[in-house]
Amino acid sequence: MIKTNKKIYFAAIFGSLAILLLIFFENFTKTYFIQNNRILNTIHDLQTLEAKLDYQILENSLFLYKNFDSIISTQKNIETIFKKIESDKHFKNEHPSVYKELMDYKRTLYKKIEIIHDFESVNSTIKNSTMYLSTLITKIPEINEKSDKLKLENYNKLVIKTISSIFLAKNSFDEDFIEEIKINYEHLKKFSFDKKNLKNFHSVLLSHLQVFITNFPIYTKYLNEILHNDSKEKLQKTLEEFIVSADKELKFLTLLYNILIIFYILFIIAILYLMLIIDKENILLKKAQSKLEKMARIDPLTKLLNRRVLDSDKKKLQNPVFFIINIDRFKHFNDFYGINAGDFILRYVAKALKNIVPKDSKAKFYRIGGDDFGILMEKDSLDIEKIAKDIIDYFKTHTIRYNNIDIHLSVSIGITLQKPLIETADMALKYVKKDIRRSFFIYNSNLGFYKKIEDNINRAKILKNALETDNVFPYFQPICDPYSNEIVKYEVLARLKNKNKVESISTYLQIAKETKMYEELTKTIFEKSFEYFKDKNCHFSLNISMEDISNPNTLKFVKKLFDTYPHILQKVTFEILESTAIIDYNMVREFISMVKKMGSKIALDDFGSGFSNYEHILNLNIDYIKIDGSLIKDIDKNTHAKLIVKTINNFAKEANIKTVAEFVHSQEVLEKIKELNIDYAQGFYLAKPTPFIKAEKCKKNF
Amino acid sequence: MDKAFLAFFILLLSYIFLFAKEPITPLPKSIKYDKEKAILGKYLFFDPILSKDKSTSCASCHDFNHGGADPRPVSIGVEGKKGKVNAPTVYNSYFNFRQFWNGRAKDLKDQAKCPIHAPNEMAMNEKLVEKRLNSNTFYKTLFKKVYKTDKVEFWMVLDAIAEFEKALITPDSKFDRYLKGEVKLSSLEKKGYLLFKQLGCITCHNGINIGGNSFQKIGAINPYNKEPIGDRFEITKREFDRYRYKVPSLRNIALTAPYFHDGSVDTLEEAVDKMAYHNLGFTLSEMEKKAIVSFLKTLTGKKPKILNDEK
Repeated sequence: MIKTNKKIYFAAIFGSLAILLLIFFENFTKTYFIQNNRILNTIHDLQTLEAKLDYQILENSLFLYKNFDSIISTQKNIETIFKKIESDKHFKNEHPSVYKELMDYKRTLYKKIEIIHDFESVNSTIKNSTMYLSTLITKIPEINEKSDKLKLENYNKLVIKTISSIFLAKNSFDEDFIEEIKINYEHLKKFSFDKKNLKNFHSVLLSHLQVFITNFPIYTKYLNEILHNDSKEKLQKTLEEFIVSADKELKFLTLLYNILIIFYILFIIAILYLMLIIDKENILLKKAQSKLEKMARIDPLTKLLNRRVLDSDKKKLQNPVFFIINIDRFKHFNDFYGINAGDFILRYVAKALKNIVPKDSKAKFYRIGGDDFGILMEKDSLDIEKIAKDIIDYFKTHTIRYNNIDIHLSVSIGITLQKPLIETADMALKYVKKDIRRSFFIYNSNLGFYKKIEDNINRAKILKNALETDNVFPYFQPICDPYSNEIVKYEVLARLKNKNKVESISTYLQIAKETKMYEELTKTIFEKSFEYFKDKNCHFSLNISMEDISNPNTLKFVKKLFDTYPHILQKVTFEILESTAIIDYNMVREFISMVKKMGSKIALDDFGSGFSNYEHILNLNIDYIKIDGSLIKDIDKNTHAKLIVKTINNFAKEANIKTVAEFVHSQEVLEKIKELNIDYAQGFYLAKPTPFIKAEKCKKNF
Repeated sequence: MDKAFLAFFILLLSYIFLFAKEPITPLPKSIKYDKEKAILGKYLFFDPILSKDKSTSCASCHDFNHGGADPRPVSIGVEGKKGKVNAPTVYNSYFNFRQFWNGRAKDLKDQAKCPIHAPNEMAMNEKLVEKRLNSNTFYKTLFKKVYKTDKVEFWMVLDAIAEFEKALITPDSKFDRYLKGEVKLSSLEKKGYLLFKQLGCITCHNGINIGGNSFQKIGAINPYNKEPIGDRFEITKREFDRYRYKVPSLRNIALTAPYFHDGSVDTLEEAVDKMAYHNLGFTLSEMEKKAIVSFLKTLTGKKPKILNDEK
C-alpha cells in the first residue's frame, strides 16, 4: 500500500496538473472567443460599413447635393479595418482560407470604391445639368411675336416635356426615358432661332440635354455596379467560411474539453480508490474488532460460544430446546491424566457434539463452564430424545485415544423446553446424575425441581432465622424396654420452631449441611441436651453424623461439653448414622475410643438400610445397633424384612451388641419385635417425642 | 400650360426638400498632433537640404504667405527645372481624400515622397537624404528626440513632414464662423453662397475642404480647350479619366492665384466664370459672379498656429 504522505503528494501533483489544464483550457477558450469575436465583429463591421457606403451613394444620387466627406470617411474606416485585419496574425494563421477570401473581398470592395469615385464625377455632372435645366425652365422665352407664336408654343411644350422626362429619368434611375429624351432632343435640334436671347437659351438647353443623354447611361451603369456588386455576397460567403473555420477550431476546444472531462473522471476514480483504501483499512480494523468481539464471545479452548452469548441467544428463540451435557467423572480424568488430557477431552466432546446434532437443526453450541456443554435450538419438529440418545450412544461406541491411552467417556444430559432454560436443564442434569439408571432426562415441571430449589432457599432462610432467634431446640423420644415397658433412654431429636409451629429438623438437614449451618445446629442441640439432662437421672442419645465427626470444630465442642458435664457422660449414647457410607474409619474409630473413654456409649443408626458392613461393626466396638425404620415398619407383613431383622438381631446378640427397633407404630409391629427378641423399641406407638420428659413408662396400658 | 408649370413646381419643391444638411462643414479650431515631431517636420519643410543641389525646399513651392500654394503658374525645382502643374496649397491638405491634382498619393506621407524624388523638383533619393541628415548633428539630435534612435531613416523624414502638414489648418474663416453661428454674412456673400449651391458648384465643392473629396472632369458640359496636363489619365490610362482631376479645395482660394491645375487663370472672377462655362454650361451675370466671388473670399482662414511658433 502507498504511504499516506506519498498519497498526498500524488493528490497534490494530480490536483496541480488538473488546475494547470483548467487554466490552459480557460485561457484557450478565452482567446478563442476573444479572437473569434474580434474577427466576427470585424466582418460584421465591414458588412455594416459597406451597407453604409451603399446608403450614402444612394443618398448622394438622390440628394441634389451631398457632402462627399461622409463617403470618404466610410472609406477610411474600411481601410482602417483592413489594416487591422492584415496585422492580425491569429487571423492569418488560424483561418488562412478565410483570410484569403477576405483579401479577395477587399480587392472587390476597393474596386467598388474606385467605381464610386467615377460615379461621383458622373453624378455631379448629371446633377448639375438636371439642376440647371430646372433653373432654365424659368427662363423660357416669352411669346410676344404673333408670327412665331405657334412655333414657340410647340417649342415650349417640347422643352417642358423633355425636362420633365429628365426629372422622371433621374428620379427613377430608368434608362428607358432616355429614348424619349433622345427623340425630343432630335426634335429640339431642328429648331433654330434668330433672336439672340432665344438662340442662347436654345444652345444651352441642347448642350445640357446632350450632357444628360451622354452621361445618364454611364450614371445608371455605375450605380448598378455599385449597388449590385457581388462584394456583399463575397463577404457573406467569407463570414460563412469563417464560421466553418471557427467550428474546426471549436473541435479542438471540444477535444480539450473532453480531455478535461476524462481528467475529471480519473480524478473521481482516484478519489474512489483512496476511499476504497481507507475503507479497506476500516475493514481490517473491523475484522480486528470482530476478532476481539469473537474472543469475547467464543471459548478459546473449544471454539464454542460462551455462556455470555448463550444468555443473549436464548432470548431470541421462540420455542427453545436446551441441552446441558456434562462429562461424567471429568474431574477424575483431569486428575488422573492431567490438565492437557482434560483439555483434549473437552475439545473432543465439543467437536463430537457438533457432528452428532443434525445440521438442519441450526443448533448452537456453547461451553457453559467446566465440563458443561450447552446446545440451544428451536424445537420445531425435532426428535429431542433421539438427539439425546445419539449423543449418549456416540460416546458409548467411541473411545478417545490420547497419548496411546484409550479413554471411555460417558455423558449425562439434562434437557429442557421450559424457561428458565439453564436452571431447568441443570435440574434435569442433576436428576440424571442422581439416578445411575438414567443418562438423560427431560425436565418436567411436575417434578418440582425448581420448587425444590425455592424450598431449599426458604429452608435455609428459616433455619438461619431459627438459629439466630434460639428457635432450635431438642425434643425427646423415649426408647423402651418392650418387655417391661420401662423407659430406658431418650433419643434427642432436633426441632425447629417456624411461625409458632414446631417442625422436625429432618427436612432442614441437607440444607444445613450445604450451608455450613450444620455445625451450629449440632452444637445448639448438643449444648441444650446436656444442659437439660445434667440434673436428671436419665440416659439420652444424641445423633452424630460423619460431618460432625470429621469437623474438628464440632469435636472440640464435644470435648468442651465433656469437660463441662463430666457427671452425666456415662448416661450419653452417640448415634452414628450409618445410612451414608463411612468413608474415614480411622476418624470414626478415634471418635469412638475418645467417647468410650468418657464412659459414653455408641449406637449405629439406621442399620440395614445402606452400606451395612458387619465387619466394621465388630471393629468399631459398638454398644447398640438401631435397626433401620424401613425394615421395621412393615415387619409384620414383609417376611423379607423380618428375615433381615432376625439376622441382624442374631448377629448383634452374638457380638454382644444390644438392638433397638425404630418406627414401632403398631401393636402388630411391637408383637413381632418381642417375638424376635429385640432388646429395645422406639416409635409413635410407644411414645411420641415431647419437649419435656413426662412419663415414667412407655405405654401405660402395656 | 399653367398645369404643367404647377406640376413642375411641385417637382421642384420635392427636390428642394432634399437640400438636407449644410454640405460644408467648418474646420476644427485645432487638431491633435505630435508637437515635437511637427516641429521637426517644419524644419525639414523649410530646409533645402532635402533637394539635390540644396536649392529647393518644400516651402519653395508652398508659400505660406501665398495661401500655402505657389504664386507661379507652375513650380520650379532644382536647377531651375519647370514643373507641369501649379502646386496646390498645403493648407488643410490633411483633409483631402487624396493628394496631388490627379490623386496619385493616398496621404501626406505618400505625397511628400514624390517631390523629393521627382527629378524636376528636388531630385533626391532616400539614401542621400538619410546620409545628409545622419551627418547633420542638428537633425540627429532632433530625430533622436522624436524617434529615439541614432539613425535617421527616410520614412521618419516623411512622417515628420506629414505631421507638420497635419498641423497646417486654417480655422476661423468668416464662413466657418458663419456656419457655427458666430458671425453673419453680408447679403452679397449670402447671395453668393446661395448661388453656389443653387447653380451646382456645391455638387463638387463640398465637405470640410469645400472640395478635395472627389475627382471631377474639367469641362463636363463645355469641353476644356487646353491640354490635359497631369490628369488621372496619366495614372489610369482610361479615356474616362481624361481631364479628370481631384476637385481642389476652395479654402483660402482668394490667396492662391493663379488658378486651375495649369495655373492658367489669374483672377478669381475669371476662374468662376470659366468654371461656370465649362462645368455648368452657362455664363454668369456680372451680379452673380460678384456675389460668388465675395462668398469665396469668406473662405480665407487664420494662418496656422505652428507657423507663428518659434522655429
